[in-house]
Amino acid sequence: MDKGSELRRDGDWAVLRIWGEVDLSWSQDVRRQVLEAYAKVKSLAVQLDGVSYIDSSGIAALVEGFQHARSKGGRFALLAPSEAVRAVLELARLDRVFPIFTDLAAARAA
Amino acid sequence: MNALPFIERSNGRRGNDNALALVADLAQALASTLDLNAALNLALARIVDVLGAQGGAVFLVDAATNELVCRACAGPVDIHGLRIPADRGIVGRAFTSGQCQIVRDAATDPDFTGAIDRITGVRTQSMLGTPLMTARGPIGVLQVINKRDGALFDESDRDLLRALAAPAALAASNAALTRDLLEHARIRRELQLARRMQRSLLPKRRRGGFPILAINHPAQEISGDFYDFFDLPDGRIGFAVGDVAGKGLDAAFLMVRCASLLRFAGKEGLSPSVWLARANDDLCETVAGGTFVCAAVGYYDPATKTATWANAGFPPVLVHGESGSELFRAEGPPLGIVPGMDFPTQQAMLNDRSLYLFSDGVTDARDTARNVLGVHGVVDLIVRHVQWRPETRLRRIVGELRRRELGDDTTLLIIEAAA
Repeated sequence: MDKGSELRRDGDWAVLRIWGEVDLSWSQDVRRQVLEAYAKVKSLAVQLDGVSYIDSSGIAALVEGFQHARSKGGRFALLAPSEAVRAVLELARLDRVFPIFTDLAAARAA
Repeated sequence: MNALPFIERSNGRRGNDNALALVADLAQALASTLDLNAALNLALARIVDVLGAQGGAVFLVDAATNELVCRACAGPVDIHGLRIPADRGIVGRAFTSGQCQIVRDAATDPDFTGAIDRITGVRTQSMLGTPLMTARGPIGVLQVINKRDGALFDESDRDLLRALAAPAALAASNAALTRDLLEHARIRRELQLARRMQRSLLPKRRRGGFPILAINHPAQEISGDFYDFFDLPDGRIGFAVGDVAGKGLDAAFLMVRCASLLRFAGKEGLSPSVWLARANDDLCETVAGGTFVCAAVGYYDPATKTATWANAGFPPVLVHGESGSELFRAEGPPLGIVPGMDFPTQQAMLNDRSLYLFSDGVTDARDTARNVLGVHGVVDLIVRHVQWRPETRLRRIVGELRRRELGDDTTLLIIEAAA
C-alpha cells in the first residue's frame, strides 16, 4: 500500500503530513521524523487526512510527540484525522489527550 | 582442467603441485576447524613460510566500531588484538576497495600510516594484502610483509595469497555465523524463560471454575497484554486486563510492572475510577516517552450479578445475552500519558448475560484480504459462539481468530454468572 510523509515549515510551526497505513513496519520511522522535527521547531502538527489505518505503535509515535511538546514547553497538534484515525482516537479516548484541529490555522488560533 | 596456472612460478622454488597441495591442505584445515583462531594462526604460519615473508596477519572487521582487529599473526612481534581503523592505511584500502594490494615500497604509498610499524618496531618495506571476501562483502584482510630475501612480492605471490584467502574467509564467515546462531539460541532460551515467568504471573484458573475466564495469546515469545483476577473478602471478584503499547522486552517489563500495580490497587477494594486514576498517576511518573497502557479494571459481584468497571482506552466492553446486547466505550484515555485524568465508572447488570473484554489484538486481527476485524466484527464473532459453554466458547473464538493474521498480542476475558 502506498505510504509516505512530507515535512513542511509554516511560520514557526512544522507540519508533518503522513499517509498510508501506519503500523509496526513504519511507526518507528514516523516516531523518528516527529522527534527530528522537534529538533528544528517548538510546534509540530501531524496531518493525518491520508492515513488509512493506524495501530497502537503508530499511536505511540504520536503520544511521544505530544509528551515531547509537554515536557519542552512546545505545542503538538493533530490535523484533519481521517475517519479511520478518528475512530481509533475516539475509541481509545485519545481525543481527550490530543489537541485535534481541522487545519493549521485552527491549531494556531487555539 | 587447467590446475591453477596462476600459481606457477618461474624460479621453481614453489612448484604448481606444491602450491596446490598447500591450498588444499589449508582449505581442509580451515573447513574442519572448530577453533578459528588456532586454525588461522596455523594457516598463516604456513602462508608466511611459503611466500618467504617476514611476517603476516589476519585482520577481521568489528562492525560495531568499524575497526579491523588482528585475529592471527606470524612474525617477530605478536600483534594479536591490535585494532586499526577499517578505512585507513593499506590494510584498510584492501578492505574497503575489496581489491588485492601489492605495495613494493610502503614508504612512498600515500595511504601508508606506519601505525603497525610503530607498535612492532618492524619496518614495512613491501606488503601484500588481500581482502577476505564473503557473500556479505569483505570481512577482513589477509596481509604479509617483507620478503625475507629482500625481493619484492609479485603477481604470482598475489594470486597464491588470493587463493589462500578464500578458504580463510569462508572459515571466518562460518565461525561468525555459528556464533550468531549460538547467540540467537541463547536469546531464544532467555525469551522462553521470560515468557514462562510472565505466564506464571497470570492468575490460575479459579477453583470451582466460573464466573470468570480469560485467555492470552502472545504474538511473540513475550506479551505486552495481561489479565488478572482475584477474590475480595466481601465476595466480589476483582478483574483487570491491560495492553502495553509495543511488543518488545520494554513492553514486557512494563506489563509486569503495570499488572502488579493494578493488582495491589484492586485488592484494596478501591472504586474502579480511583483504581485507574492512581495507576495512571504512578505510570505518568515512571514510564518512558511514547509508552502507554490501555486497561480496564473492575469488580463482579456474584450476589447482585452486577459488574462495575472503569476503562482507560481499552476497546469497548461488550455485555451480551438473550436479553440484549450493549457496548460500553472507554471513557478515560490510556494510562501513562497525562496525569490527573478521570476514569468514570461504568456498570451493567449481567443477570443471564456475559461480559466480554478483548484487547485491540482481537479487533486488529486481519483476514486474508488484510481487512481488520473491527469492534463489530468481534461482536459478530462472539455472538456466533454464544451457544457454547464459556470455556468451549473462548477456545472456539480464539481458534477462529488464529486462522486470521494476528499481528498483536490477543487477550479475551469473559465474566458470566454461574448457570
